[in-house]
Amino acid sequence: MNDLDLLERFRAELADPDDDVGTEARANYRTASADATIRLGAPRRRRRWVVPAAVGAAVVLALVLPAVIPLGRPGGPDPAAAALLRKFSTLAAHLPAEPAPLPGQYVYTRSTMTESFLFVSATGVRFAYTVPVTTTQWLGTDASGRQVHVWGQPTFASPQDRAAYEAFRATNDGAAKPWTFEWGTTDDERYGPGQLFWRDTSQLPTDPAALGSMIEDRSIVDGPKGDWESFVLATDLLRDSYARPELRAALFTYMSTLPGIELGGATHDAAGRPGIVLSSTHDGSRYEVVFDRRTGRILEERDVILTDSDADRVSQNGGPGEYGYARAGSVFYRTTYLVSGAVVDSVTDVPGAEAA
Amino acid sequence: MIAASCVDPERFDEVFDRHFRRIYGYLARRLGPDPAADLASEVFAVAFARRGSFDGDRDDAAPWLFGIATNLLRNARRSELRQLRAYARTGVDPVDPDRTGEADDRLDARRAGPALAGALAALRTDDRDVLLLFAWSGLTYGEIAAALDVPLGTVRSRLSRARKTVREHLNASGQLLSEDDGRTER
Repeated sequence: MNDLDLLERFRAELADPDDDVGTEARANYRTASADATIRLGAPRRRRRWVVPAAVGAAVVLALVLPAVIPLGRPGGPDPAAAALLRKFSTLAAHLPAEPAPLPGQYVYTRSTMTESFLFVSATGVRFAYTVPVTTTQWLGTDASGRQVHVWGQPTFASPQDRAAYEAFRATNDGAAKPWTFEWGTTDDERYGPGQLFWRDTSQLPTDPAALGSMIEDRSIVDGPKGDWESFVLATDLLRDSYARPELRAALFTYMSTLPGIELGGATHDAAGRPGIVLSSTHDGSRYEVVFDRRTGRILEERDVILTDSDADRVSQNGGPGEYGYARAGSVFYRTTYLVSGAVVDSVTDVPGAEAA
Repeated sequence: MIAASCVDPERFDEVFDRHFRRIYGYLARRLGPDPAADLASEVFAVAFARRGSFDGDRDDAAPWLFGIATNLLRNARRSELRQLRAYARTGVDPVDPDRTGEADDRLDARRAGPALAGALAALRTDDRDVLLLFAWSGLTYGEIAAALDVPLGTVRSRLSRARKTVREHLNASGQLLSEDDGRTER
């Protein structure tokens, strides 16, 4: 039985409505007044957002060490990006790192994800906003742990958007949907063994060519083909669960051989920390990873949309709801890793720097 | 039928009769019976109000209706996430607590339920929409693309990513019995 077989059986017994459900719905549809809908050109998704990170401890090493292990590759990587990645490889191999978590310990991660939306009501009211969700995760090697999700307050695109929201909430339509706009709430959930996802990377090769081969044949992490996706998968492995220093070094070296990775220059993440951007472009968006240039630690991942979402395009598929939304050149999805890779002894512990 | 219903609204009953159970079933599996009843009703209310804009060249209204359903589901995504996480955490499905754990011919699926729920909760909204439309709606790749108003390639890549995550969760919990794809593209 594979994943799709199991999914087909998942909640299958719920699929049949009682007779009165259909009767009521039939009576309702002609009298309802849902008349205005807009469907945007929805931007594509990007990374999973509940992920532990496994980035080495941030001790500054102000050495520029020689580049190592040029693997070579048809098409060739961008020389500047490749040089930076080789430097990160050297740093990863030499910087002091957080020790691997033992049974009973947890990898602690705190990250904030933001997505931008355009809300369109049944009556055509619309407003654009961005909502942050901060996730703190304690992840054990047995895939047990704890997650705390804090849904933040929205930031509206303009005063007009805020006014539209407030006016909408004052209407019957706005007040009638209790599940909409659950901003400012917190979920705190604990999980037993096997209930979260721990990726065991302890047996992966640390030879960059062998590791790269496994990434490219998608035997470590499945995914679409293509160098851009290999870049994404390699960053997943840098972040996921726990990656020991030798593995991190090998991942950076492998990434330095990939065509299509561009050096974007200096930037800041959403928390205001300075960093440097490496990116790959695919399918109408640019996937950017912000690294701490001193350590190679991942500070932020973000997707930049390259073509406008068309807020005025009315499609066949209209319906009130939230739509991914951004203008060309703006970030429509972002995850900022505020704390990553720290190892603690219980699901109530926080790392020293956080506690301070 | 839809074009005819613009002239004679009674004809929309045929659209309703043909598609309501399917739309309801999809929504019920995502949110549970009570929210699904409300949302399915809203899907047809929206469709009825907008029937004049339906592309008459399309053979089938199902992608259009599933597109509307998907848009409406966005408003409930946080509720859906909470339910999935609760199922993963407790082993009891909040949308179907009475039947969780029943022994029947779907035992494997029930055992895998919490792991599946955890995997679904870990997906981005767009990826979850594509995966569950593929698994539960009976739409083809092309119809899913039409429903979501995205390119066909985007459907393929989202489905691939979503299945990757689900397989990883199932493998990690020892629930996946076969890596086989088990089907051809619709």
